[in-house]
Amino acid sequence: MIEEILFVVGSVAILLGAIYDLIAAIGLLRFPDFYMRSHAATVGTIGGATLPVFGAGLVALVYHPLGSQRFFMAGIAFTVGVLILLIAPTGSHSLVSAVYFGRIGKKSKLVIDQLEEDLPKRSDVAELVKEHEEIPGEEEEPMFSFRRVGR
Amino acid sequence: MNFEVAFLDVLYFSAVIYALAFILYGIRAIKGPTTADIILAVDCLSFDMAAFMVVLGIYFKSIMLASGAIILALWAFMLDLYYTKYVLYGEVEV
Amino acid sequence: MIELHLLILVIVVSFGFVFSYLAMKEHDLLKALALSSVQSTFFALGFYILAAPDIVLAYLAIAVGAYTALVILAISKTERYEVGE
Repeated sequence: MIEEILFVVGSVAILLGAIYDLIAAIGLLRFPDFYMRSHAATVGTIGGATLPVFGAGLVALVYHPLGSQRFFMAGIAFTVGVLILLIAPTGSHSLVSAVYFGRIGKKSKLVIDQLEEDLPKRSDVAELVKEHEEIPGEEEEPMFSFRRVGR
Repeated sequence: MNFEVAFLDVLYFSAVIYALAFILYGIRAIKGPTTADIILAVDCLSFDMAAFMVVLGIYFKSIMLASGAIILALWAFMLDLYYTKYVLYGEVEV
Repeated sequence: MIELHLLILVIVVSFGFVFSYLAMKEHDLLKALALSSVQSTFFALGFYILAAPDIVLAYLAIAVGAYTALVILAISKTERYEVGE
């Protein structure tokens, strides 16, 4: 009796995870902006990867054709689930912060943007560049360089 | 209740949907206007492939196959960190 | 009925081929690196369906991990955009 309940719960988790994955893929394809795309991506990683992995672990616990190897399979599945649950939000957050602070791409219209005062302004950057500017002509031209030669 | 027959139905339904999702992620990675979009698509793609590898490992009845999922999830996370360190600080210490 | 995992193998390998072509024709080297990592992720699933778990373990560590790390290190030391004619 308990085996049927575990199998049905695991199978429903796998099917629900697959549907989450399709919804996240459609969202990643159709959204117009990077920040909205990152919303769809987090749906795809937590709902589409963690949920079916835990469901597969529950199925593997009672799947008798595997023999006595089914406990190892369940251990692998739960390990992968916990790892993705820890890793996926960290990776998405670091990627979005890189896009925001590195000013990559086109910035969308935001209603309120409280992080904007942390960004370096144009005048600060100009002062920094002026302080560290090297006097030209003092050092020799390198014989060989990977950088683009001015035309 | 025969578990093997019931699991085959679950696998056929979910494998079709996973293949559709892989195709859509691939199209986003081809179209992506900036590099960050491609990295985001790789992130989603590798985590979902890790989940699909565990489900296929039950179908193939082999635990040696399913251990590749751990490695895939961990290395895809390193790619995010390399890209972030290159964009924000300009250099990478390996 | 056709075996479903063979159909997935065809899809995955053809996508890997498309991405390797795109990575070859790209002038922004960082973008080419990202496209190359997509290609190696697709090929890893291909090797998995061909039932070669040892090749999956080695290929992931090399093509997704060490290769991208070394190429990003080289890009940060030199130049991001390819100098074209």
